[in-house]
Formats: sequence, C-alpha cells, structure tokens
Amino acid sequence: MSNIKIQCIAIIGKMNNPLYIKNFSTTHPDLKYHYIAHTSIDVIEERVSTSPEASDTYLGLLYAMEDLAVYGYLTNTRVKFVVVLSVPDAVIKNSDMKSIFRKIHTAYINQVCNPFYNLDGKKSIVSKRFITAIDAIGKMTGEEVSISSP
Amino acid sequence: MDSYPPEFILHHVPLMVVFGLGTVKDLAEQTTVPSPSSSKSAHSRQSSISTNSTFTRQQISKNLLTQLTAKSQAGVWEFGKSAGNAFHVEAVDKNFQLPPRKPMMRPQQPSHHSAMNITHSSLSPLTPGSPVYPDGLIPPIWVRRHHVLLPSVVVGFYDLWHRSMSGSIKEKDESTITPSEMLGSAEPIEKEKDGNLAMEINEKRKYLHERGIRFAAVIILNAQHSEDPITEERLGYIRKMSGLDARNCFFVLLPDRDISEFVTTLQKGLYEHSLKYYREHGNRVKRKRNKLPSPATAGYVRPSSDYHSSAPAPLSIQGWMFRYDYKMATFAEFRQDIDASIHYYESAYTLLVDFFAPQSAITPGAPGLQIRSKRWNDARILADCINIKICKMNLYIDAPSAALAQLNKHITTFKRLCNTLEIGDDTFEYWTWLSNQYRVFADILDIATRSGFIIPDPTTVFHTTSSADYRFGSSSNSPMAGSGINPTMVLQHPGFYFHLAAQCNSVRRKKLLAVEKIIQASGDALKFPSGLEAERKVDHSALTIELLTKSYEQFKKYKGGRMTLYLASEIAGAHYEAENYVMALKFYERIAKKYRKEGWHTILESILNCSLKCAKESGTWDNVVEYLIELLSDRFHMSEQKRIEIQNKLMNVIFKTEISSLVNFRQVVIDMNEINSFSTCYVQFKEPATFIATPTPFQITFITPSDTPPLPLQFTYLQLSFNDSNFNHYFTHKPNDESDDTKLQCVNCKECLRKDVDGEGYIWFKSVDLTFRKGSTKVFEGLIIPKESGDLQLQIITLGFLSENWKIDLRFDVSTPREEPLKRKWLQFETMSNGEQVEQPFFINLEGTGDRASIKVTQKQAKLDIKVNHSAPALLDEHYPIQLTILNLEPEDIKAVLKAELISDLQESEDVIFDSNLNTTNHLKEVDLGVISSNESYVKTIYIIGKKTTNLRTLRLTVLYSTSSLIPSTPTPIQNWIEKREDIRIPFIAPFSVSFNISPQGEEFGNAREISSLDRIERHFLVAKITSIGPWDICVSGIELSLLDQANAQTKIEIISSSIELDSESLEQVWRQGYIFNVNYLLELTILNDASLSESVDIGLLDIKWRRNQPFGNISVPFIETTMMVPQLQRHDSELSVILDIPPNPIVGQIFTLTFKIINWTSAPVRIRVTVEVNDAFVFSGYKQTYFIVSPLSTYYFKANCFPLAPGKVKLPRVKMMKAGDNGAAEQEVPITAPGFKEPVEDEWYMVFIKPKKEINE
Repeated sequence: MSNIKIQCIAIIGKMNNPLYIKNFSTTHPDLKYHYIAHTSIDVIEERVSTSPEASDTYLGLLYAMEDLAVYGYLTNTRVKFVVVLSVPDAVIKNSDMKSIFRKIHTAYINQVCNPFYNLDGKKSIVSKRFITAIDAIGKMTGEEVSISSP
Repeated sequence: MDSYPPEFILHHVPLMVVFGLGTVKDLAEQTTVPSPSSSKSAHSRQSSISTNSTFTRQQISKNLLTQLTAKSQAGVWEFGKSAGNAFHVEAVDKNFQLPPRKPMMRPQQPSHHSAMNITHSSLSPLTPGSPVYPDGLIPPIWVRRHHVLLPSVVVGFYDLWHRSMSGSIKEKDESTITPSEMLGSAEPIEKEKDGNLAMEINEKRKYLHERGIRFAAVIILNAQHSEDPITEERLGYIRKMSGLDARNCFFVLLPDRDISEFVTTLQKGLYEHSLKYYREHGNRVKRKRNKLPSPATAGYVRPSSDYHSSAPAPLSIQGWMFRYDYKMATFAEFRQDIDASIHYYESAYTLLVDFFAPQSAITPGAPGLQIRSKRWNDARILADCINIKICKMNLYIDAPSAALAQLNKHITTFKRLCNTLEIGDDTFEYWTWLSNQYRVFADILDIATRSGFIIPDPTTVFHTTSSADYRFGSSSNSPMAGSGINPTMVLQHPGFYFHLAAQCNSVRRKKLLAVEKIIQASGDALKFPSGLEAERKVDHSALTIELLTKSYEQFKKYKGGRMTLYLASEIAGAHYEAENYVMALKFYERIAKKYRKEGWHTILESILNCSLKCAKESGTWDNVVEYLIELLSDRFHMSEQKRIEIQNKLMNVIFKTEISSLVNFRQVVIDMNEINSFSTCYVQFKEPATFIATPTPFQITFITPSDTPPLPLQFTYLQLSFNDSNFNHYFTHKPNDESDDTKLQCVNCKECLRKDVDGEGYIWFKSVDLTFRKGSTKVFEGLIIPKESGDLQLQIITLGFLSENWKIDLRFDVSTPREEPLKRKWLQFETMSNGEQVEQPFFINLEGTGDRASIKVTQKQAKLDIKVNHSAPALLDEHYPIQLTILNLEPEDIKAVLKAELISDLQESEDVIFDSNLNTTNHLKEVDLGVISSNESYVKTIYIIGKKTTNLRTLRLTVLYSTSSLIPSTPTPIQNWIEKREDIRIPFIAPFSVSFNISPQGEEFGNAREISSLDRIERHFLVAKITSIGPWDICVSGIELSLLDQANAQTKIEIISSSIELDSESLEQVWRQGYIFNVNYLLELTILNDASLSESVDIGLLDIKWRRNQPFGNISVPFIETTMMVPQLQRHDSELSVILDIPPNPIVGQIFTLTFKIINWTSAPVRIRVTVEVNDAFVFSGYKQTYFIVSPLSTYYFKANCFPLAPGKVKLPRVKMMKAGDNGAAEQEVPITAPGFKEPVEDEWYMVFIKPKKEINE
C-alpha cells in the first residue's frame, strides 16, 4: 500500500473538459499531467464502450507510460477521475486504488451538492473545500489510505 | 533491429540442403533463359506424351526448388508459433562439401587447461585464427554455420536413366552409345547406369552418415518411365544398392505428382530426423556443460601473464558455460522447443551479464570485461540479441508479461551496469542504446501483432504475487477479483514503446548538446572520444520524428485519438527543435482545435506559445497576431507581467513598423468564437418584437475578465453588421476626456450620422470611446428605426485595429446561440422609460435567457374600428345595403383604402358587391376612403346582392391605412400599410316561395268550333301560388307572366285570360310574412302541326317586381325583379282521343245522354270495340257491345242514353273502348277523359251526383 505514490489527480467533466487537475509531483510539469489526463479519456471511452454493462465504475489501469501508471474511474454521471501514480515495480492492489477513487468521488459529490455549483459548466472547480479534500487524498500515505477506507 | 547481426536475431528452423535441382541463383537465371537442352527434351517428350504432364526436367526442378524454398525467406518473426514441419532450405551444387569438422570427438572436457594439444573446431576460442580466439564468446559465424551450412538433412534429386534421355544426360554418360547399341542391348546399359547411380547415392549417404546427417534421395521419373514395366524393378535395385531406408529416405517423384504435396510429404518424412539431429547436438553440448567445474569452486585463475599484458587471458569457465548454454538454446530453438530454448537463453543471459560487472559474482575474483574493448562490444551485442530472442520467444508462447519482464530486466540491468561504468544515463551513448532497445521491442511487438498476437487487455490481467512471478493469470469470470496488477508488467501496444524510444532519442539529443556545450566551454574534445563524431552526424530530430510517427500510427490503429494529438504535439516539438518551423506550425494548428474545444487550456497555452514562436520564426505574422490575441484570454493562467508582455508584443506587431518582412498591407480576420476571447460579447434587443417606424434600442455588452487585458486596449473601430446592411453601424474611437475607470461604462451610440465612411460605404457613424479595460463591463446602446417588417438581426460585431500595416478584425458572431445562456439583462442609464433621470446606471432583468440579436419587426396593431350596420337576414336578389362606419382611433390623420370581398364556397357565385359609384363583381378593390382625421369616422354604404342560393355569405372587409404624414404623394404604396380586417357573416333567405299548378281545361262541346284545319287547340289553366316567407314586409309592384318563345314553330301559346290585369301597372301591395297570393292564367296552346310534338312545352317566366317595404335609413332601394321559371306543360299526346261529355245535373227519372267524342288524329281508320257495363243506378238503353270505325282525321260521336234510378253519388255505367291493334296485335284500351271531372284511377269510373226528383221537395 505504501508503494502508491500519487503524482496527479484529475477530474474530467462529461464533455471531456478538465474540471480539476492537481499535480503532486515535483519532477514533472503540470503540462505533462494535462496531456496524460487528456489522453486517458480515449482509454476510458474505449473501456466503457467495450463493456457497457460493467456495473463497476472502476476501470483499473488505463495505461502505463514511462514511469507512470494511469488509473481511471467513471461516475454514473460520466465524470471521469484519473489518478496517475509513479510506478513502484510492484503489484498495486485494486482495492487500494478503488479506495482512493471512492475518496475522490466523495469529494466530488460534496462539491456537486453545492447548489451554486453549475454541474454543466465548463469552468474548473475552484471550491477551496474541494481542493483541500483532493490535496488530502494526494498527500496521503499508504497507511492513511488503508485506515480510512471503509 | 537491423543493426544487429541477423544470425543472432533470426528464428532458427532445421536446415535442409538439397542438390540436383540447381541453386537458387540458377533458379533466377532459368526463369529468363531456357537452356537448349531443356527445349530439346521438351520437344521429344511432347511427341510421346499426350497432354497433362508437359513439364521439362528443368521446370520440375524449378517448381520443386520454389516450393522447397518458399518458406526460407525468413523474417524475424517467421516460423515463430507455427513452425510446423518447416525447413530452412539451401540449394547447393551436387558436389558440395560440408564445412570441415573437428577431426574427432574430443574425449575429455574442453578447458583452458588443456588448451592447445587437441584440435578444435575452427571457430573454437581454442583455435588460433578463430574470430573468438582466445577469449571470445560466440561469433555470429557459429550461428551462421548451423543456420545455412551444416544441414540436419540432405536431399539429393536424381533422374532415372532412360534411353530417350541419353542425349541430354551428360553427367552419367561416360561411354558413347550408338543408337544401334541402345536398341540392341538396352538392359545391360540400364543396369550399368542404375548401378552407377546407386553407387553415387551410397557414397553420398556414407559421407553424410559420418556426420550424423540423414541423406534422402529422390528419383525423378518421367513419363516414359511410368509406362515402362521394368521401372519398378530398377527402382528397387537402386534402393537396395544404395542402402537407403525405403520409408523416409528414398522417394520417387512420379511425373504426374502434385509438387507441393510431394514437398510437404518429403519434409514431413524428414522432419522427425531433423529434430533428432538437433537433439543429439544439444545433448552433446549438455554433456560437455555438465563436465565443467563450477566457476565458483574453481575460482578465477589469473592468467600466468600479467593482467595488463597484451596477451589476453583464455576464456574462463564461465565463458565456456555461456557458450554451452547459448549453443543448447540455439539447438533447442532449431528443434522448436521454445520453452527449453528460453530457459537456456535466460541462463546464458545471466552468465553474460555477469561479465559486465566490474567484479564477477559467479566467478569470484574475476574482473569484468574491459570497457569498450572488442570483446566488450561483442558481448553487448550478444546481450541485446539474447534479450530480443527471449522477448520474441515469450511472445511466441503467449507470455506477454514475461516478454515485458525480460525487457525491463535488460534495461534495468544495463542501466545499473552503465552507471557503474560511467557510461550511464548522462551520456548520449546510453540513451542511444535505450532508445534502440525500446524501438526493437516495439518492432517485434508490431510484427507479432501483425502475425496474430493479441495484446492482453489490462483489465483481464492481474498479478498475484508482488514481484517474483511474472506470469499472469487471465481469468474470464472475475477480472477485477485479482488483487491487483503491477503496471510495469502490463504489456501495451507497440505505440507506447515507440514513444518511449522517441523520448529516449530526444534525451540523447539533449545529452549530445550538453556535451557540445562542455566542449565549447573547455575547448577539450578529447574527453569524449568515442563516437562523438559519428553522433554529431546523426539527424536526431528526423529519428525522433520517425519514431513518433510510428507511435502515432500505432495509436491511430488502437483508436487512441487523443493520444495521437499528444504525439502530434511531440512531433511538432521535434520539428521545432529541428528548426522546421513551418512543419511544426502545421502540426500545432491541427491539434489546437481539439484542445480548445474540450477546454484543455493549459495544453492549449503551451501549444499557442510554441506556435507563436514558430510563427515568428517562419514569419507568418497573421498567425502571430492571432496567437497573441488568443493568449490575452483569461482562460490561460499566467502572471500579469507575462500578460503585459503579450499585449505589448501585440501592440508592437500592429502599430510599430518593426517587421521588415511585412511589405504589404495586411488584412486579418479573426473569428473570436473560434478562439478563446479576452472579452465576452452579449447582444440584447430590449423587446422581442418591434413595429415599423418605431425607434428600437439595442445594447452590446462587452465584459472583460478581472485580469485581462492587463493594459487598456484601444480599438480603432467597432462595426456592427445587420442582416440588412442599411442598419450597419461604424464607430471610431474618440478618446474620452475624463479618464473613465469605472467598472461599468455606458457608451451612448444613439444619434448616429448617416455617412459615407471610407471603405465601408454608406453607414451609420459616430465616434465613441473604444477603450477596453480589465474587469469592466462596457455597454454600447444604439438605436435603429426599422422600415420594413421581417426579422432584423444583428449578426456580426467587429472590433478592429487599423494601422499603417494592418487591418485586424476581431469578429464576434452573435447570431449563433451561446452554450451557457444567461439571464437577459438590460442596462438602464440616462433616463427610465417614464422619463425619470437615472443617477447611477443599473441592470434590470429582462424576460428570457440568452442573447437577443434578432428582433421581429411587424406592423403596428391597427387602431381602427369598423362598425357594420345592416338588417339581416338578407333576401335573395335584393339590393342589400351595408353601412360601414370606419372610426380612426390613431392619434394622427390617416389615409385609408377599403377592400371588400364576398367569400363563398360556391364555384360560380353570381353574387355582386358594389358601392354607390362602381358596379363591380364579387369584390371591391381599394376603394379610396380618403383622409380620415383622428377620432373621426367615415361612413360608407356598400351593397351586395345575393343570387340563387340561400346560404351564408361572408363579407371580408379590409381597411388599409397609414398615417397620412408618412405617405408620399400618389400612387399609394399599399405595402407595409397597417391593415385592419373585419369579417361579417350575412345569412341569405328567399323572399317567397312559388308553387305552380297546371291543369288541362275541358272543352265545351256546345260552342266547340268546327275543325277547320289540322290545328289542334288545347286549353290549360295555370295557377301560381306565391307565398311570402321572408321576415320582412315586401312591397310588390307587379307580377307578370312573360311567355317564352316556343322552341319550335309548331306550337303557339297565348294567355287567354288572367286573374290580374295584364296591362296594369298599379299593383302596389304589401305582403307580410305568410301572405299567399294566387295568380291564375288560362293558356291556350295551339299545335299547328301535330306531327312531331314533344311532350313538354315551355310556358314562360313569372316575374315579380318587389322591394323591401321598410326603407334602410334614408337610402331608397330600387324595385328589383325576382324571376321564377314556370314549369313546363306536360302533354299526353295520343293518336286517338276520347272525350266524354257528362251533362250537368242529372235528376232521377230523367234520361240523359253521355256523349263520347272520339277523334282520330291519325291518317288511318281506327276500329273501336265498345263494351258497356251496366250497374244498379242506371237503366241503359242501346247496345251493350258494339263496334264502329273512326275515319282518319275525323271525329265520331258515340252516345249512350242513361236513365238514373236512384239519387246520390253514383258511378256512371262503365264504357270500355278497345282499339283494334294493327296487324292483328292485341287490343288496346283507349283512355277516356272527361274535362271537369276527376280522372278515374284503375278500376274506378266517373262518379256523378244524381239529384232526386222535384216532387220530394214539394
């Protein structure tokens, strides 16, 4: 579990527009994660189209690129979550990833519950609360993730 | 991949050597130049053999060779999964020699201890002169030897001698044979030839057997042989003599045998042996490997000479182990035992890698290979090649994770090694190598997928343990149930690896540049001696682009649309680095759209910045302007300083003439809807609709975000384009005197001048403040006065810069709907609608959302009242007056015209409508009503006449008007006048109903005129009963029956008498509803010539002159005539008429006479038979039955005397008159009429009333 090192968390709207992209890494520029998030839409779309009846919105590993592994999650409102990890050369448990995504989903749900938030808007999410929540997920160590996962 | 020795990379399959078919080189030659002998033999055979097998020996050879070598053009991947019975086939000359072998098997282990005293293979490290002497590992030539030189199977092709072939067979033909000898002693010659052949085969067999190689012979028969009975015997003889096994080593190719099938059989038969051959080789090597001492126990034996001496040490035990492992792997590969092969290769790889370490882990104490030495280079190539082999074979056996694991292992191992050797990831050398590794892997994977290998779906892959087990399970039932996957172990499609290769390559370039920098700084190139010169010559960018393009194609194949965009951006970047700006710009332009559309502004910003640089470098200044303007948008997060920089750049480009390359005046149009704009533009018409000639305000609002434009931005002009160019506006900048820093600025754009602006035509013009500041809302309010009805739309708003060199239009297309509609707002400033002064401008909400860039212009609602006065229902035919009162409710005088139209469902309506002056048909056209003053009314009476039918009529009244001030002089343009329409419905009824009754009038015999001519005169009585049914009193001035002219000249009708005075003019009567008026006429019909008279005769028309009794206001309505058609007179014309005259007032006891007048109208006599039926009421005298003849055109009177017996109403005696039929036809009863009496029906007869005798009364 401690092998998971989140590099980036991206939330992508249903029109494939970026809603929030947070870079936790110190080595790569933001631009790189923007590109990664954008390209992962392809894989998500393909995954969803090939197995449309999948009840699980966790899409697993989307692809690995260089030293980064990209994981995806799709909400039932077609909002996509992408988590980029640095590759530890070890098995990453699906349950751990699912737990991370569930946390992101919770944060997003809290954001959506705000009546002033425009669901169909194309603007980035600027809510401080949401940003804090995502930051907390990104900076979490392995132990914290496993303790707090339901 | 091509940079490696092909021997190390190609997949091995058993080698088969064939001879007797010519070589591959011959094959190529034979196709073009047929030898004379072949044509000869072909000729001779064609004479004897009929059809099917016309192949010459050479053609057969060629076919065989083609079939055999078909699979030999092996690529890297070929023979992989489905090697089957495939051989690699080499065609050689008949007298080929195998490579020299070692004189004998060495009984003892090969070791460097007992090195030089035993002869070794020429390729052994123990043999001086060998490429690997004394310490090399494996040279490519060793692989080559097994790959193409040392076969596992040799196949010889021979011909069976035949007499007819003597001329063509040169090899065996040692003694010259004359034709006579041939014929005479055939058998001995054949026997001798066969013996020679068998011996030859046997020798070959023995020679090869010594080397453990299986030899197979193929005898090619021709057609003559198959006919020859002794052939079988000869073949048996040769086989026995040559000592070949019948089943797998001796084949006979019959002339009609299918070649490809034969080849398959041949290879199948020999394949097993082949495998055995390689297995033996493998076992031999294995035995040798097992005899080696363990390197760990043997330890490293330092060579006797000094470590640094020039003579290198002989190969270590570890080296020998590697050699044997590699050989075992190779032989396992030859026999297609892939699993074993991988195992040996992996073992060899581990041993090999150890050589690179500074200190060996396997052979304690042994130093590693010296860096950059020949052996070191060889070993590296070998390591790479083994890596490729292992990867490839893992793909063969569908173990993608293992393949990837090998790649990762290879890369991490050598990364570690290189770093320890200081040729690690700081050097371009390392990156070159790494790029190459990824590229080769991608290539292999690409080839594999093209050959049917399927890249596993990551969702179905899971890794069970943490790191040791690279094999993965592929579970169909619950892919997600696996505990997880190791991302590094997931094999992806080749595009990813090409991309990695490309990235490594670009790092390689950077490393080279870094080196160059150091060299420049220090001026010392000697520090980087190896490969620097060569590296400098490499076109890195081209290579990167090539790799990226390959990756791009792969992603395209795997539907990674967005990934291809990313790659395109990388390609563009590589082009940029290569200073190929135009190309880079092209790529950037292509991809920017998608990112813009999906809102990935961070990426877009980077693309724009790169594009900007490219555009500047390539001098495409139009694009520079566009990119700079887009970069001003607040969607891009950047520092204010950076933004100011961008704006200054933009201003410099536009207003400073610093660009030398810009010669011409440039015009650029930038569609702001297509790019991210620094300002949002909204358009509002206040109301959704307006009227012609009504001043209509509109507002254009520009909202700039809080951080851009960083400096006040001054536009040169603002232009508004409507769909009707008459309303286009053009505003130029006029600096505002007081600096306006308020967040909300209102710009009054009303009171424009119509002016001819240079280049823009005739346009509404005004000078206003066109400065845009950040975080402000700028509202321009304008006014238009529409002139026509229709949709008026503000389509395009253009902000523009105009300078010496540039005309830049920033177009905001406001006609397309916005994605996120906002509530409509209107800025209230200056004055409210109620005229109150507004101190502080403020926004009010309007109904609806979104922009309202278009407005519906319509006519104003008519302020006009039409009152209609008439007294319904109307009567048919009358002049029905309708009084119209048109009241002008407009505040101004109007000029109006009237249209009136009767709308009827009937096709041919004869209704008429007219006013006092004109008499038109069913509608009134534009009756000028003149000017009607405000609040005045105009009265107009029109008349309608409804004819014939009594349905409901709709009268449509339309008044068109316009305020008289707006109307120019005549002619009146009706278009765009305000229209008021009024429909009134008028029921029509008939004024009266008339019924007619016509009855024939009896003749009085008494004053009957004598028939003096053939004229026939009849009298008819016409009664017209006229009922007034309308609700109105009617004044009737006259009723007149006007007789019609007869249709033919044979009849004449006259009015004998009438109940009203014929020439009276003074019939002035008023009829009320329900009043009935009877008019009687006695008509006399004279038939001039009886010959052909129709049964019905026209009588005439009854005209009633009438009008309504009540006058309508003061309007006097004229009398009108309603005309009725009198029904036709129906005559019962006959050849014979019988008229009965019944005397009046018969009295009981007084005799009376019934007279029957019989007129024969025909020109032939008629015989009449009479029967009289007596009844109780009368006594009858005369014949009861008699007959008489009536002469032509004459009258006969038949009389019967009756004596009444009782008073009362009694039936007269029935008289039946039967007319004899012509030419014996049946008799016909003649109808008898009695004028003044009711005609009897069927069995009835005329009834009379008999008065009683007078004496009763007395």
